[in-house]
Amino acid sequence: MLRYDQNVLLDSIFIKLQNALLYYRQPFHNPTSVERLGLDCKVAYTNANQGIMPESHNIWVQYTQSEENDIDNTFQGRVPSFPVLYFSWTPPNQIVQFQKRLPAWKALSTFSKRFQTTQQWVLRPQAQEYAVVIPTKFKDLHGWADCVDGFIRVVKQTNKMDIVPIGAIVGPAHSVQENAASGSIDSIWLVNNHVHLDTYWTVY
Amino acid sequence: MEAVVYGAEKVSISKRRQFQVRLDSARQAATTWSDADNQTAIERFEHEIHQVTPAKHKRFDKSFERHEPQLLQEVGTKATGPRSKFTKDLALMKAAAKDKAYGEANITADKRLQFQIRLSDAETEATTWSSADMERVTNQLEREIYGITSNEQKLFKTEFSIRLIEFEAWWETIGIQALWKSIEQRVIHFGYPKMHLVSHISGLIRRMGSGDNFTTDISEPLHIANVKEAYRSTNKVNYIRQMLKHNDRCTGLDSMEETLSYLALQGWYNIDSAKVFNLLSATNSQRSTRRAHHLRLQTIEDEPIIHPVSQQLYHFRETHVRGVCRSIKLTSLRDASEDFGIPNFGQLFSTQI
Repeated sequence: MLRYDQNVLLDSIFIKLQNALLYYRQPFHNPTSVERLGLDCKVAYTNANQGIMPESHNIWVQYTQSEENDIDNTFQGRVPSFPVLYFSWTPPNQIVQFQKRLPAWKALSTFSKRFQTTQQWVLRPQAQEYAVVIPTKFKDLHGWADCVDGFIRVVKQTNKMDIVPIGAIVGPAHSVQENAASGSIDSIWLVNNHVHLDTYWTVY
Repeated sequence: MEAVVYGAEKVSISKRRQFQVRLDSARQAATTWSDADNQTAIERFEHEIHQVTPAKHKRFDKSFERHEPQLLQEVGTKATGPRSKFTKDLALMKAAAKDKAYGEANITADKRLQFQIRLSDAETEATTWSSADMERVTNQLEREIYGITSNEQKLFKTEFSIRLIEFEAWWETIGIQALWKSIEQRVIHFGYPKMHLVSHISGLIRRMGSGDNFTTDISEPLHIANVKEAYRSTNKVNYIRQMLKHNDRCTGLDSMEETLSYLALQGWYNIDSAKVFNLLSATNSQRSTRRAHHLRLQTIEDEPIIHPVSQQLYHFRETHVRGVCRSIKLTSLRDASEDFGIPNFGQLFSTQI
């Protein structure tokens, strides 16, 4: 975006970290009602009262709008992914000058701010929320479901991370690790579409 | 070779390659190379690479003889699958090996006689008869009559012995366990998938919650609402028609409720409809009491009829909010990438934002 050297970017850009975020979600099988829910991602954070914090939630991320194409490792455009970090970032003020040159999908949300001394209203860029996620890919070809249990298996993508805006998060995904006891790193995850998520989130 | 059936190839392809390479190198390095030398070298390399000693051979034979009838009896009597697959495979393997590798099936007495006659004929017809000529002619005749030369027989023999040793080593390490496992699957856990799936049920319930048809409570309240209450609302005369009408009206009301709540989420809701659905926030519910309405009438407070949805409308559960923790301080990308283990965060930032 700014076309700086990466080392310059690493030291010059400052972000706000957050280990959880609140967002509107649709409960499973009930598209007419919406609740607000917290999503957690795994961070080194201990609470004296609760002891063990909840495990990180896996999330559905909307990558493309294709509803028919399941081939490119997406479930109708959605990908179950593992959140690593939620953060918010306010772009620098100079970016307002270049706002017209930016492509449409990178358009900034701005708000007008009032200066008391000059009694003027000026545009300022708004804080934007993003998530760093590890996407998954199908274990089998074209994500064919298992012939015995009918679940689709996915594998964590190694050496790949994505920054996605918060708006692209569709909701919490319930994925179960296969052979969790073995504890291997490149383990297979099973996307559970049979669970009643509403009950699941209230229990856990 | 039927060693493929037993997975001997999978177990030690690298070992066989290693074995051949070492044997070739030894042959090249040696000044003299007789059959006895060859045999000793093969034994040595077998011992070093496959860890097979003569004592181990004997022990394997004994253990196999002891185990085989017992295991096969269990498989043959109790299992529902193919009977004694292992004996069949083993017999097939031995027969095929003899026929194919040694070529013994082809080499009969007639053919041997024929071979000798033709060899002597060739010797008399030939003008020169050196050792090289003899080798060439014998090879040619052997191939014509037996279908296989003696050199090829030797090669097959060594290869077969290696594979047999590999198979035996595999059997000693893995094969018996695999057979036991298959017996367990067939006999102890039953042989068919439905019975096997039962063994996963407890774990699956722990991981994913209760199964379908866990409770009959869903159908029983429906019986109350759709039948009992509907019947009580009738005048007990021609009640079926009246009950159906009652149910129809109830479903109509339900769908109306759903559409109203959906409209409320889009930002359109009347305060009266929201009151019906218990969707009001604390402030709004205070405003919508009868006393507040009375006071408002007194002050003639003009309020818009349609309100946008406020965030207070929805209640947070404690479980949902407990993980929220925001940092007040700003952190640089470098620190964040180090703390959370995100390599090339800067590159991601420049390309994807």
